[in-house]
Amino acid sequence: MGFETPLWLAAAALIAPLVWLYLRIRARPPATVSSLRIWKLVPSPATPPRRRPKLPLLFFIQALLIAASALALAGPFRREERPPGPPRDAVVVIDVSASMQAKREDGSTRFEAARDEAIEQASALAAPEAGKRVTVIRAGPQPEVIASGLDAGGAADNIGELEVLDTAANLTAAVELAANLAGRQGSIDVFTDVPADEIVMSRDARAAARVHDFGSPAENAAVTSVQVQSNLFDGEETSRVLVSVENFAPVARDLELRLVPLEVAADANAAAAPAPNASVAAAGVSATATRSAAPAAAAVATAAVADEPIDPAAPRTLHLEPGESSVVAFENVPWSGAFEARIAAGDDLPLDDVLYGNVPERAPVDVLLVTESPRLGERLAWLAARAGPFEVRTVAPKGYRPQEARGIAIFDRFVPELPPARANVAYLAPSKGNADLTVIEKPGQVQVAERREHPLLRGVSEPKALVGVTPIGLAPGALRSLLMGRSEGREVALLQAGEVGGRRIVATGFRFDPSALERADDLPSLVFLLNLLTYLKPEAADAPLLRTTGERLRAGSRLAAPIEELRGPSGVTTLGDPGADLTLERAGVYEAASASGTRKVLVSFVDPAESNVGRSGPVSAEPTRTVAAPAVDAEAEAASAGVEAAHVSLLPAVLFVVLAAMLLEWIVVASDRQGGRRAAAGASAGGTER
Amino acid sequence: MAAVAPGTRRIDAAQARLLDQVFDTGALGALTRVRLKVAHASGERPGHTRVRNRSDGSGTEIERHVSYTPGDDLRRIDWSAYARLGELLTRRFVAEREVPVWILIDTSASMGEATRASKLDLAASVAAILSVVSLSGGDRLYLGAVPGRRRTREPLETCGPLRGRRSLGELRRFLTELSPSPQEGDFAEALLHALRHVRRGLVVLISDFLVPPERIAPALDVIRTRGCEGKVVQVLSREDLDPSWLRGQGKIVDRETGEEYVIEPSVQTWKRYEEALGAHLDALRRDALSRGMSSIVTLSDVALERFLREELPRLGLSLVR
Repeated sequence: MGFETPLWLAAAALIAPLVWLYLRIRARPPATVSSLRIWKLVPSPATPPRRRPKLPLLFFIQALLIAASALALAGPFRREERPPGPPRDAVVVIDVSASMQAKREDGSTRFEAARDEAIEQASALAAPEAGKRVTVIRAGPQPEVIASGLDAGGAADNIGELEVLDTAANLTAAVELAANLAGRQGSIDVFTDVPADEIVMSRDARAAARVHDFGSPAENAAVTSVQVQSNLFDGEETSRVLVSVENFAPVARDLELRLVPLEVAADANAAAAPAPNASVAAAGVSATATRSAAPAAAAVATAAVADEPIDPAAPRTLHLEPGESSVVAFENVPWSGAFEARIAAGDDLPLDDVLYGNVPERAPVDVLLVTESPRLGERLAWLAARAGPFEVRTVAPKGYRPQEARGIAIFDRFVPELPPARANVAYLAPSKGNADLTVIEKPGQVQVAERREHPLLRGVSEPKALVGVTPIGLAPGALRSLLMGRSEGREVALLQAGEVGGRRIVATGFRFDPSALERADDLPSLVFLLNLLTYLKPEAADAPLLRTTGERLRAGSRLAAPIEELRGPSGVTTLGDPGADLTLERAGVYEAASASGTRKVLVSFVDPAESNVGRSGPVSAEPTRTVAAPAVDAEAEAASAGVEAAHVSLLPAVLFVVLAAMLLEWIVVASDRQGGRRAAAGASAGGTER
Repeated sequence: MAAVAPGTRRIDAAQARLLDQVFDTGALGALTRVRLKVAHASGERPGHTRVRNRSDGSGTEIERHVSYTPGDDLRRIDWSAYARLGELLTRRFVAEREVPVWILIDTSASMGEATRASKLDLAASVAAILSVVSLSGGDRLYLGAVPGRRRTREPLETCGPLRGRRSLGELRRFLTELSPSPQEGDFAEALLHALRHVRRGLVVLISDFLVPPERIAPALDVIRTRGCEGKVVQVLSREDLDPSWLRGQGKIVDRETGEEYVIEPSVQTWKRYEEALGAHLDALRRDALSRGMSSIVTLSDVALERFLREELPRLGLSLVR
């Protein structure tokens, strides 16, 4: 028997004052009665009762009450041995995140070392004398139980088949899953390069987990972002590419940065040995914009001047101090299509040395303007022709056919019942709502109250000039409100934009006056229309998809035929169902096959946290560090001996005793009082009878 | 339990309250409208509460006719009878006297302080009720405290005869000044002494009667042989009836004699005490009944209103409006 909080047992000392109270009562002076006449008819005890202290029943009941209450507060429990059940689970968690690809001093990767030790550990745990079964959990973006109930051989096989991924890992979720599977008596072995004190885990999980830390000193530099900027008003040879590079090494590094079209890179990679998990397939066309890392210290280096033709293969040399990042701008890129930005770092983690990007092609974009105003069509065509490869067609609402809307559809004060299936849409001053938007009412006099940052409003300094005097109010919905107005104390949306089902939709509560578009000084309207065309410009159907590792790729989209098969670094994956998706675990160039043909999927690895492989490296040369779980207690020993010791709470039983004692006390007190009353009533009634 | 200093004059708040209730204007008015009903009374209206006495020449009610003998008062010759019978007859009347009401209150120490209401408080209040009713009925009232106070050195201290409502002040003063006797006294002996002064009439004894019944019996015999109507009011405190308040007490002291007595504080002891008390009360009641007297037992903390409504009729003293 044990107690959760044994200090509460000290409360039983309250019995001492109770004893004192009772003894004090019994030692009080004699009571005065009216007469001893009746009392002398009652036999007197042979010896005075004070000489033989005899505590009444009530005292013992109250003492029992105090003792039971103290016992209940102490939280009693008893250990109960149960027949041995199935062997306890030993859970092995292996971190397969990208940082585990970092090379160690001996040339092997952290993952290889962790895997070897995990196999060894699992074999020891599953040995007959240990009597445990092994569960293997792969700590990837989502924890995954590879197999459970394994013996030594099964554990070694399953662990040996694990491969490292090009993604981050959710180690916390993996450890919590392991804690749930292991239970109270199980053990958890975590093989990772993250120090134990940096892993967020619950108290129970931390108590059971032993972390095998494979972090080691490492040097790494990474390409952390690629951004392509194309000016609508310039030719396609004027594209600008910004590449961010960060040095995660504790020492200064000199790097070479190359910007290589994918065709050239494919040829070069074909000649050279392929980088691990980053094989480059056939060249294609893609567009990219990756997450940019927050540089500790940024420096923009202009790699080329505007007049000088750029040589994409020419390396740019960078000198980065420890922790420094740099943004390299490649001006006037003369070609379009997919490319890779690669640094020749020769560091411990090659995975993040390359990032994919794309300079978009200038394919003509079909713009269908549905309006009653031919003049607006003329002015828009005039403007679009100067902005880019837009081909504007104008039709009246009566002549509108939904199948004619392909690239961009702009509806001027007209709303079709059914939105176009494949085109990006703009509704200018819609008169009513449809599936894309909801019009609430004409709010009357509206004052522009708030604007939010968005590419549509970039360069529009005076939104009031856009709105006019009689705007339309838009109701909140799937679209994001970008321009808010206030009318009679209410807020109404005047401009909304967003992406629904793969289509970009813009709705404005105001319309455009054709005459205003002829005036060069009506800059807000001109800028907004240019932003509108740019925002709604659809990607080419065969343009490569740009993704980062860890993202989920859906098979279907409304603008393109659903992907049926994906071929790439992960092998061949058949998707089939348009609603299916998969997690991109490998960086590299994929080829997505659909009914309409094939298109490239460029998957880059961008994760500064993973790239910072030297974050957990110990200064010493000790290859691994193990943070052991707390010492195994007696129960665990009992468990290992084949007997399960369980805590069975005795609190309900003790509380029952408390209640029973309270009831007994009440009965005793009540019976004493009732006896007295009965005697009084009987005497009174008997005495008054004549 | 607060002790009473022996011999001190005691007018405590509880007694004053009880007496105030009796002498309250409204209550007093109500009491003066009721009458004591005595068993041998000839009437119930004012002036009719008389008791029959031996015949004599005066009176209003004719008892019998006797033949005229020379020397008789000529005014008593019944001339109507002479006209009918031709014989001279003289009228003899029933002599009527006022009812002398004796209220004797036990003021021994045992009637003193209790943990709750004092028995003497209620005794004084009961006496006050009966006195007010008696005085309102035109009776002659005697009050006696048995035993008397020390300064009188008498076993009986009396107040009276009192007549009429003008005596209420004296009555109230006497009752207010009642206090338990500080000295050891023999109530039975003092009662016998007091009854020497009693002649025919109504005698009301108010006491806790915690003395052996065989010692009270002579007093009851005296009351009967004197041709009096006796009423016994036994006042007990709740502590007298229910001994459980002595839980944890191994020794008790007699308030009157100071004698100590060892008890076993147990449920069995309480039960035995209750049995003994019941037997004592039964014996007293039997003694009273056997002598044609009515008796009641009342608690010292009984509400006065309830006493008037329930207890007094049981005593045979009906309040007649």
